[in-house]
Amino acid sequence: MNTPKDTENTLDFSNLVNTYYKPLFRFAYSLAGNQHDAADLTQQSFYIWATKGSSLRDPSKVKSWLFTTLYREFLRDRRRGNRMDSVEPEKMESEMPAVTQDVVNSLDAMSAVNALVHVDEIYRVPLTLFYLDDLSYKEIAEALDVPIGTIMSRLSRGKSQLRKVLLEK
Amino acid sequence: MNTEEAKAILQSYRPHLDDAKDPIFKEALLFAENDAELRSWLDREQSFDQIFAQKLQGIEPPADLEEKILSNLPSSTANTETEVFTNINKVIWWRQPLTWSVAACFIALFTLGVVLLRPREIAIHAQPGMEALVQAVNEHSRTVSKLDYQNNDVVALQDFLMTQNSPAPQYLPTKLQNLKGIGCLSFTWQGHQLGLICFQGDKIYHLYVTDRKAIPDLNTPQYHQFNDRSTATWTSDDQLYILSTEGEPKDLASLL
Repeated sequence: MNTPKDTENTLDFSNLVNTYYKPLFRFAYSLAGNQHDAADLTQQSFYIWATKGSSLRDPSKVKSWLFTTLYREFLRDRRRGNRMDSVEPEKMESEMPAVTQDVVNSLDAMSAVNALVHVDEIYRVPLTLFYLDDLSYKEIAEALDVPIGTIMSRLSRGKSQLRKVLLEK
Repeated sequence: MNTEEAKAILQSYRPHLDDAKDPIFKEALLFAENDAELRSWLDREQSFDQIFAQKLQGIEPPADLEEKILSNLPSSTANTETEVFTNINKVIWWRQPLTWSVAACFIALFTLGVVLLRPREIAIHAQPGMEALVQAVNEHSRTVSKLDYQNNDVVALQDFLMTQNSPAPQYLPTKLQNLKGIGCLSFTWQGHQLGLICFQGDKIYHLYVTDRKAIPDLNTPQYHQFNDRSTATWTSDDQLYILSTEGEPKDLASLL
């Protein structure tokens, strides 16, 4: 399996796809909430890379570029579909609910992503990137173009919402 | 730092990543070492994070997704093992030598015509709706004073427009993309929702983007001059682009 470092230096396109299509699909799945749209978003991101990726001057940014592009495509698709905006709630969660061991034990991949889908998008996006482990929190901030402090507060709120969702299930 | 502040920071902490080297986490971790309750909370937090991350990373894409991605690429990419940073992109019209040659001839003739005839205004040979839009955009560009968001990073400006559900340029000519951004604005004109990005080059350039609707293909830019200002108009996919600046059409052509 290729490491991201290999990829960023010399790889050909098929290696790029092989290295990143899974994490990109997982990110897309958490955004779109279904496998079909997630696959489309993933394909579209690589297509855009194929048609304009060479404009990227810094090879070390390939990974962030792909995640950012996928997120943009999601926003663009949503705009075309006239879906609702995510609005950042005023209220800050002060105390995070504890998740019981039973809930944790019952988690599987599908229930994890289904729980994420119920988190407000504004928190879900950084939270998913956080759990996918592909980007540092600074790269997450860059990818979403928000300050690092904002990412931290969104992660906090996102985690709180996620645990509430899990407890309610 | 107090316990709540440390918690707020450590919620973003992933011990297995480089995040741990960041000074902000180091300080919070140091604080946690002397706070048993906080340490216990952090252990529980990381235990949950680890399990949830494992589950999320266990999602498998459809078995044929990788193959589909590779087979649905532009033909020039799909058929060859291509170096990512050399040949992978589709050749776009503004990068084609032939296009440049034709454009150069066109611009030379156009400029000659402008010099000889010196019209106050060049008629726009396009749909009436588009003519009005281009003129309105040109007028708007004279008086832009307030922007929704300011940032030198053009990508950040594109992202901002998208988060506002505003039209945002999907494809930028390379020379334009390399200019420094100033800011962006989203607004509506007679039912047209427009996104504007301002660029700082040797002078200020205003790029307006809107949904193309029924406007036919403009695969090469159309240039128009309105007294002391000029516009270049073209389409790409489902978007209409209008670039405006003070000066002559050749000033815009040098960017496209």
